Amino acid sequence: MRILLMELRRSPLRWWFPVLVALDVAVLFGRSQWWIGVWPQASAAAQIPAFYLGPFLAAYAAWASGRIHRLGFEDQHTAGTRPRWQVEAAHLAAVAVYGGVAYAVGAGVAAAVSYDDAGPGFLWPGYLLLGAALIVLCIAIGHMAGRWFPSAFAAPVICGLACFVVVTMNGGPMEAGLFVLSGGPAVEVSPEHLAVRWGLALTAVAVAVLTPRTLPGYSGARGKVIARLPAIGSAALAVACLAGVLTAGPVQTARASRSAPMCTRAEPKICVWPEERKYMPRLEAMAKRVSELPPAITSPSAFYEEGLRGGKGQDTDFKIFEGSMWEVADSMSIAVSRASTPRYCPAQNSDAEDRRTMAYFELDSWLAARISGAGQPSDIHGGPPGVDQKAIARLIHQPEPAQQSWAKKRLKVIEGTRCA
Amino acid sequence: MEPIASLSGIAQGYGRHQVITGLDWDLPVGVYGLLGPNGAGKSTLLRTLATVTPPQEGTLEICGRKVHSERSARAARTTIGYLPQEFGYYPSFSVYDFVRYSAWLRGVPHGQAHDATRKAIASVLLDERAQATMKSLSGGMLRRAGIAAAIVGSPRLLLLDEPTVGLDPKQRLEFRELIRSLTDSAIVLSTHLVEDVAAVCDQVVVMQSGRFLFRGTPEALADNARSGVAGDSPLERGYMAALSGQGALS
Repeated sequence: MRILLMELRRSPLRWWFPVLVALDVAVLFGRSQWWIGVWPQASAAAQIPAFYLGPFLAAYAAWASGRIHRLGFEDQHTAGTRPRWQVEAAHLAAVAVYGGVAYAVGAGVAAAVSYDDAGPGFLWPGYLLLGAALIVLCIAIGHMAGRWFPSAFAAPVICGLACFVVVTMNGGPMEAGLFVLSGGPAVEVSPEHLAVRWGLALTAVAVAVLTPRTLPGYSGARGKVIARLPAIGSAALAVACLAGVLTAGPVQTARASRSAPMCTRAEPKICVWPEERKYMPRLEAMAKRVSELPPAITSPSAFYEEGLRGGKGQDTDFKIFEGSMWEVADSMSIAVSRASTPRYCPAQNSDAEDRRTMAYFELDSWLAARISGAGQPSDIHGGPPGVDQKAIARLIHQPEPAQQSWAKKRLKVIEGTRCA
Repeated sequence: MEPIASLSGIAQGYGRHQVITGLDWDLPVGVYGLLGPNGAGKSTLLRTLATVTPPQEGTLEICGRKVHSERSARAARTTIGYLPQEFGYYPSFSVYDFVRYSAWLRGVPHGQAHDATRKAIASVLLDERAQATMKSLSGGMLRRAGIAAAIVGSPRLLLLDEPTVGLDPKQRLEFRELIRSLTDSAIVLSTHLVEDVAAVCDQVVVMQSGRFLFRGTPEALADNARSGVAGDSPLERGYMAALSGQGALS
């Protein structure tokens, strides 16, 4: 412990620490802010800076671990009684402490800004541990690289860039799952998958500190083999963990324990995970707007956020994607449209099919705009082909009779289309 | 007297290049001056005594125990203080941390490490700079910090490679006082400065090409001087005479 404190005191990383914190906070808020007020989303957001801190710390660890060699410190270490792994572990731990504290500060900031809106609960440890595992893995790789290639420039630069590229290309949620981009309340980080990723990180640490750069001079042939055994064993475990990481599937799995949903007081009921409570005022307004739709439109009695009713998606399920209420309204509009129109069957000819499809598209777009209380946001592109979203946005501000007449025309087209 | 270190038939080299050959040497308590030109094998001999590199041939005993395995070498290192000629340090280490780190490397027990560190720093008169960073020290002070790192924990065998390089005359006098005060150790000083040898050493060894040319007291080396040999003092002339192949390997 005393040596770790000494390493912390002497480490040049102490001067970089504010930069690490600034990098973490800049990534946290620079990427998006919709996660504020939802614990699992805030947790996933707090984990994302690890994606940048990891490669940075890998580069630093490569620079730092090569210093013993560059500063001519080898003989003094060899002449000491300490096993070399203790020396290396102290170095690596100092880097991990600085990186971990910077990461924790970022997580603390994410918690602080979420506290008011998020209600009971706290950051989900699974996401934070996933980010921490990535940081530790990168530091271990950097430390290893620096020990073997003690160059002050090439090894850190190559190692940092390589970590960044490999994590970017292969670490995503659908690949190795070393990081996730968001954390909806319907999913959580699987403890088993997290354990495998920590296994990989810790075995990489073991390889980094246990691999002898030079074999003990006094060992015979047998001793040299024995000296290599811990590193070989760690490397074998690391390979096994890597195989587990690559083959275990997505790191996020459906949330096992379902808490009681939080529903709007207004009818129809719109129910969300309790972690999404910050959206309740807006959902109440949406429920009210659904109840105010023309009588020709029929609404389901309840809508549920994805995952609340099990893994199998249903028509009335919706997803809050990156905090967007438009996405919610869009999903609800399709459910309302289906409840208000006959069951789909293929039309007699393609012209009739096209007319009906267009009527569906326009009706859905109008419903979505009515439910959301505004037209499609300008930052959301796409939508049903051929629909003039600006016209729809103007339409919802017209008098109710005009809108009812417009909707009835579309309903008539849909209902009037004969099945083949 | 029981030797603290004992070399028997030691040969050492790098690859096929033989640096020292067939050395036998017993080192009981005392101060030993290792003189010789550059490339004589002094540093290699010190590294071998420090158990940094195992000998290619021969046996090494430290405190009566044969060093033949990594385990025995590690046990021996608890009793060895070693200051390489170009010693390494982290520039942002304070003097205290550098010496304390050396104590940790040496395996000085945790409970004694603080006091041992303070004592070693005081011995080299760096108490007032104990919290100064290594990079802020002058060359002489750096050398003293290195000596403190070598003597921390009072090793039985102290190996100092060119310890007085960079010290001013006053500091060299203080260094000699320090060496004289370490009465319970075998101390090997590798140096180019024969006056240091004359001042503090009980025994002097002259090396060239990996072999001992002379081994005896400083007085015996001075007696070895012959007219016609270059040198400003009897000891220097004795040293030069030994290098030119004159004199006895006592």
